Amino acid sequence: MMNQDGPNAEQEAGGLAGWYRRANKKVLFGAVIVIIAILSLTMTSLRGALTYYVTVDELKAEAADAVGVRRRVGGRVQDGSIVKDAANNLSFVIYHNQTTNSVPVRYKGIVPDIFGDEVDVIVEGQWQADGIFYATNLLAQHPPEFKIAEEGNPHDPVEERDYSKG
Amino acid sequence: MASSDIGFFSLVLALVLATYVVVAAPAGHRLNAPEMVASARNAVYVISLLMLTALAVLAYSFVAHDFGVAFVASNSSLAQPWYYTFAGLYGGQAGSLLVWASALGVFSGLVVWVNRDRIPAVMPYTMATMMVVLVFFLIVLIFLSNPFERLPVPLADGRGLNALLRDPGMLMHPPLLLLGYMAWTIPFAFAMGALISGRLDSLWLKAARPWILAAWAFQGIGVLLGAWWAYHVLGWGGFWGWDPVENVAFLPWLTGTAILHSIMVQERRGMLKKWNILLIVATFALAIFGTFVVRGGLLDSVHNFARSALGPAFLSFLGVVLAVSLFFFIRRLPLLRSDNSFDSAISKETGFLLNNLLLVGIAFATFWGTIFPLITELFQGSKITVGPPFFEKVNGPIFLALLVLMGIGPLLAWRRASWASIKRNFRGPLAAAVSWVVVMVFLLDVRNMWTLAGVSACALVFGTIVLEYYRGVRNRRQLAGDSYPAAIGNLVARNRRRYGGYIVHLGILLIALGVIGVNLHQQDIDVTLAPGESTEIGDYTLTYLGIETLRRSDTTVTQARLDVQKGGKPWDILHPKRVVVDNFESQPTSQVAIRSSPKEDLYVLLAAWDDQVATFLIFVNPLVIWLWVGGSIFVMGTMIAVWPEGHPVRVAVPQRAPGVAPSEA
Repeated sequence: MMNQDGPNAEQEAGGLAGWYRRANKKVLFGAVIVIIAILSLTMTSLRGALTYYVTVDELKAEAADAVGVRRRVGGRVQDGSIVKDAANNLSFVIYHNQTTNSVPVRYKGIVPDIFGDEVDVIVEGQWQADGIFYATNLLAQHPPEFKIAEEGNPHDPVEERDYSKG
Repeated sequence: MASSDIGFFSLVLALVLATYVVVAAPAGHRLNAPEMVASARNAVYVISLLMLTALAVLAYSFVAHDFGVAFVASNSSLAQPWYYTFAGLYGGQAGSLLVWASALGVFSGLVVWVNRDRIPAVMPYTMATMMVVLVFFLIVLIFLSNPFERLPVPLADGRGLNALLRDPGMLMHPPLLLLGYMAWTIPFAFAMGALISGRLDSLWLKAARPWILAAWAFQGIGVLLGAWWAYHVLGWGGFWGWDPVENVAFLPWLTGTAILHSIMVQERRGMLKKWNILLIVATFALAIFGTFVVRGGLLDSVHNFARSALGPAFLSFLGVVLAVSLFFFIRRLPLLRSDNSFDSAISKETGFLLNNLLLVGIAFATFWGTIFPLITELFQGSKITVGPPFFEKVNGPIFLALLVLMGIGPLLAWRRASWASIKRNFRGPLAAAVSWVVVMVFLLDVRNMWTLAGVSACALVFGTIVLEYYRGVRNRRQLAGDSYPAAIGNLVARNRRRYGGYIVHLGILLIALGVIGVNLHQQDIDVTLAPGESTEIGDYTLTYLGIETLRRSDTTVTQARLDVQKGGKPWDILHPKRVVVDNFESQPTSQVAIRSSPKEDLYVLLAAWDDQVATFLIFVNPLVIWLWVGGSIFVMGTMIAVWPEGHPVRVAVPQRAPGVAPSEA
C-alpha cells in the first residue's frame, strides 16, 4: 500500500517547521487572532451564563453567599402553602423531601398544568436578602411512575420549556 | 411465523452480507481480484433491497395494525388519525434507528452504482467503510433495540403516536434529520477510501461532492423544519431555544457548511487538503453524536423521547471511528501537502478560510456549551445548566461577522484581490448597506445597534448577490445575445453550484432578518382574562370571547376564542388550542394561534384556564414570516446546487492564470 505514495512526498521539508516556513505569515497571524477571539468570547461568556442546580438544603447552606446569584432549586411544594393573589402572583413553600428545610418562593408567570401540593418542582431565580426566592421560571416534574410508564421520557417537554425567555 | 419476522430476518441477512463486504471489498482490491470486488458490489445492492424490505415490513406492520409487534403497539393505535400511521416509524428509538440504517443501505447501493466504473482504487474502501457503519447499526438493531420484537400476547389496541409527534412539522422533521445524520456517512466513506488507498488526488472529492451537498441539504431542511415545529407547537414564542437536541442537529450543518466552502479552495488551488479531511471526519462524528444524543439519551433534554442502553455502544463506536480516521490521517500526512500557499492576505481563499474559522467557531462554542454541563457533572459532581444567553452572546457576534463576510467573499478575487477591484466591486453593496442604516434610523426609528448592524449586513449581502447576478447576466447577453430571462436561466444552468449557492445566501439573509426580528424586537405579555375582557399589545386589541372543549378522534381539544382588532378595526378571530391525546394525559400539547403578516406575527398561546378566566401568553414577533420564506428559498437554492451538472466542471486552473476575473468562483 505504501508504494502508492507520491514520489516527491518526502523531498520537501515536512513537519511543523516546514509547514510554518511555507505559511503566509499575515494569514497565519490573522487566523490565530480570530481563533483567540472566538475562544476568549466563549470562555468569558460561559462564566456568566452558568446556573447551578441546588437542593433546598444546599441553598440554605450557602446562606448569604447565594443572595442575588441565579440558581435552579429543586424541592417539593408544601401541602397547603400555595397562595395566589389577584394580580396572579404565586407564593408557595418548597421543602427538601428528606429534611425539614424549606424556602418560600414568589413567582409570576405561566404555571405548569400539573403544579400543585406535593409536586416536585424546579424553580429558577434568585434568593434575596428577605429570605424569599424570587423565581422567574417554574418547572414541574412528573412523579416517577410516569417516567417508567412513558418509556423513560424524563420530563414533560411542554412543562420544561423556559417561558421566561425574551 | 408472523409477517414482521421477515423484517428481522432481512436485518440478519443484511448483517451477514455487510460483514462480507467489509472483508471482501478491500481484500479483492489488495489481491487484485476484480471479481471479488464485483461480488462485494453486488452484495451492497442486495443489502439495499434487504434494508428496504425491513423498512417496508415495519411500515406494513403499522398499516396492518399488528399490535403483536411491541414497537407498533407503543407507537400507533386504531383510533389515531390514519395520516399519522407512518410517523410511528420514527416515533421511537428502534424505528428511528431502522430508518437511519435503511436509508444508509439504500444510499450505499446508489453510491456504489453511480461509481461502479470510477475511482476503482478508492471505491473498495469506501464501500467497506459504509458497510462498517451499517454493521454497527445492524448490531444495535438486532441485539439492543429491535423494532420487530414481538409481544408474548398481541395487544388489542396500541398506545398511539406520541402526542408531540402529532403535527405536520413532525411528519417531515425527524425523517429529514435522520437522513441528514445518515448521509454524512458517505462523504466520510469517500474520505476514508481516499486515505486508506492513498489516492488523495481530486477525484475522490469530486465523487464525494454531490453527497456532501445532499447530506448538507437534508440536515439544513431538517433543522429548519424543527425550528418551524418548535415555533408553532412549543408555545414560548420563539423557534430556537439552544436546547441540546437542537444544538446537536445544528452542529453537522455548521461544519458541513464549512466543508462546502473549503472544498472549493481545494478544487481550485489544491489547498486545505488536511483541513477538508478533518472537517469531513468531524462532521461525521458530530452526526453520529447527534443520532446518539437523540436516541441514546446522553443529554437531558426537552425532546428526548428515549433513554436507553445504547449510550456506551455509540460512545465506543464514536471512539473507534475517531481513532481509525486519525490513524490513517497521520499515516497519509505526506500525501496531503498543499499544492499552493496563500499568495495574499486578502483573496477569495482567505475569505473562505475566515468563513471556515467562523463556522467552526460557532460549532465549537455550541458544542462546548452543550456538553459543558456533562463535563462538570462528571468531574465536579455539580449540576449546572448553560442557558440560551451563553449561545446568543457568543454566536450572535460570530454570525454577524459571517453575514458581513457573506457580502464580501463572493466579490473577492482568487489569489490576490487588488485595491482597485475591491473599490470597484464594493461600491454598490456598500451603498445598499449604508442606505439601509439611514432608512432604519430616520424612517423606521430603529436604535438597537445590533439590529442596525445585522440588517445593514443583510443589505450588503443582498447587494452582492444582485451584483453577481447582474454581471453574469450582462456577460451572457453580450457574449451569447440571450434575452434577460434566457440569460438568467442559462447563467444558473451553467454554474448551478455557484448561482444556486447565491440563492442559498439569499435564503440565509432572509432567515437572518427573521432571527433579528424575534430575538431583538419581540414583545410579549401574559394576561388572565374573563370573557368579555380585553388586552392590548402593539397595534392589536384582543378580547376573550369564551372557551369550549371538543373531541376529535383520540384527542380532547380545548380551544379559546379571541376577537382581534388591529388599529381599532375588526381583524380576525383566533383559536389557540390545548390538545390532550388519550394515553398521553400528562403531556398536553399546544396549538398556538398564529396570524402572520409580512411585518409581524401575532402569536397567542392558551396557557391555562378554569371556569371563569383563561390565561394567555401573547407575543408580537416581527419579521418571522421571512424566516420561513428564507427557509423555502434556501431549499430551492440547495436543489439548484445539488442538481447534477449537465457538463463536466472545470476543476483546476493553470498555476499562473493571468487576470482571473474577480467574479469567477
